[in-house]
Amino acid sequence: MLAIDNLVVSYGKIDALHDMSISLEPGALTTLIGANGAGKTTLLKTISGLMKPKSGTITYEGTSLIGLEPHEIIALGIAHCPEGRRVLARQTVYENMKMGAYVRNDDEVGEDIEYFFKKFPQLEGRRHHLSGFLSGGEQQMLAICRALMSRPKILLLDEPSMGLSPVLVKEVFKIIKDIHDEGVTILLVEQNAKMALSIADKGYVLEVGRIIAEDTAANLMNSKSIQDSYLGG
Amino acid sequence: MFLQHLINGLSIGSVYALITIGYNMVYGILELLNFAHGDVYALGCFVVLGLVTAGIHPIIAILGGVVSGYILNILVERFAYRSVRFSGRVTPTISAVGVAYIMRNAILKIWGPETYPMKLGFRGTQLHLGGIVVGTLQIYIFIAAISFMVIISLFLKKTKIGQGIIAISQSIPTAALLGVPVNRTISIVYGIGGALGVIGGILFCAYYDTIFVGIGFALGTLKAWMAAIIGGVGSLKGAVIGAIMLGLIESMVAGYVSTLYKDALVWLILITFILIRPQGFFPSQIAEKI
Repeated sequence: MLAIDNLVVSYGKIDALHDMSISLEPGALTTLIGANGAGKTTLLKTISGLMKPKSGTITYEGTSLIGLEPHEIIALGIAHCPEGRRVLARQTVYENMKMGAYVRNDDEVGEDIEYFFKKFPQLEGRRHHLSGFLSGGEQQMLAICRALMSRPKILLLDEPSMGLSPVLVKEVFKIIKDIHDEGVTILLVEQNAKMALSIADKGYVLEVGRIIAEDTAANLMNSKSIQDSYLGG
Repeated sequence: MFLQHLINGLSIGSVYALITIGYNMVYGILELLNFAHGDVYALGCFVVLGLVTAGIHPIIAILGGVVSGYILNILVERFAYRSVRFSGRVTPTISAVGVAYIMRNAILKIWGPETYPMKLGFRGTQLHLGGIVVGTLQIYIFIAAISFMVIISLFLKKTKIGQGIIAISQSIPTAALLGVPVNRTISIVYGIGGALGVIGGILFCAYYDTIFVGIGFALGTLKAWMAAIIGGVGSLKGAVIGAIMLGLIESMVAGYVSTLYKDALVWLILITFILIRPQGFFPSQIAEKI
């Protein structure tokens, strides 16, 4: 569905991603795990058009994404829920949800918002609050729902568990699993490797800009070296 | 006498308000200290002068000026600001200073430094109410300022483009990820800023019946800055209230203290105000949690 081949991305003279190849299968939940600075966020930013690659290809259902602007890429059906949530603090929860549907021109946006509000009553209750005043967990839920408001075929999720309490982390991972069950293709970037692998179909392990392992999530979970380095033994 | 100064202050404040609304929109979206705001709209006002002098009906001439302000500011953003958008704060500011000089010199080249009478034909009549004189033009200016504030607020709050503008003003990457076409939206903001500037500038010319090259920087950009600081930088409500307060302060100082030292005294009041309340009356409500 999405194929990334031999991608090289750099900040100035320093390459952040070296010759990276990754593919997402339709409907699969793929996770990308690795330490801070491994290049996970860089990869997502390059897919969604915020960063331009030096070389390599990104192909989505036969169309090259190279050179497209972010607003063109989300219009094709790839939504990126960024690291640190990035809710629009000076807009209300409802306005944030509406912003998620910016690329849509149908008249079902209102219905979709009510659908998510029904699923997440905390957000419903804060419908007209400025989203800067929400708690971290609520902001993360808002950020995920907002990304889904574009009705994406692929959802890119960057560190959704960051900064959340263990209870909230569980809740967010359950939400991700539900989205996956509904058939959305997901690329999940996480430092919390254990949780990520527990819900994923497939995983890639990233170390300083290179893929060092690629397998089914179950196999990675059982691999001795992965357990030692990423799963806390 | 006090009522008379109040009326005069309100109307010149309303002119400043229109200029400041445009300035604050442009500032709000990129936080660019737009030195060129006044000189861009001054050129637009001179276009109106040129059209009126050529015998064109004032209303059509004003429309022409407003459209030229819209286009001019879009071009300025495209060629002078876009490529330095992410180069820190100093570089775009210097670029803006450059644009200001280019605009000013364009006016000097075509029209020279003279002060021209601006005959737009809507001077209106004088209403004598008790001891005070109210020009109908003063009333129109006040209504125009309030109407534009309401229209722009509704545009930002209720339209898709408006919401996209508010999103960009908080974070360009986030807005882009949500599907807002960033460059096109920023162009629209500059266009609206330029157009509102010309409307404010024309009302200024109409109020004083004259036009000269100085209406841009000294009477436009600087007043817009002062008003924005009083009201709250980047806020529309702040722009209008700050501008009207500036008009009132000027009018009171000129009326009761000294016309000659009006500017110095007004600046003194402004500096004192900054020391006491640096965020203005209506700062943005919350800083973004990042």
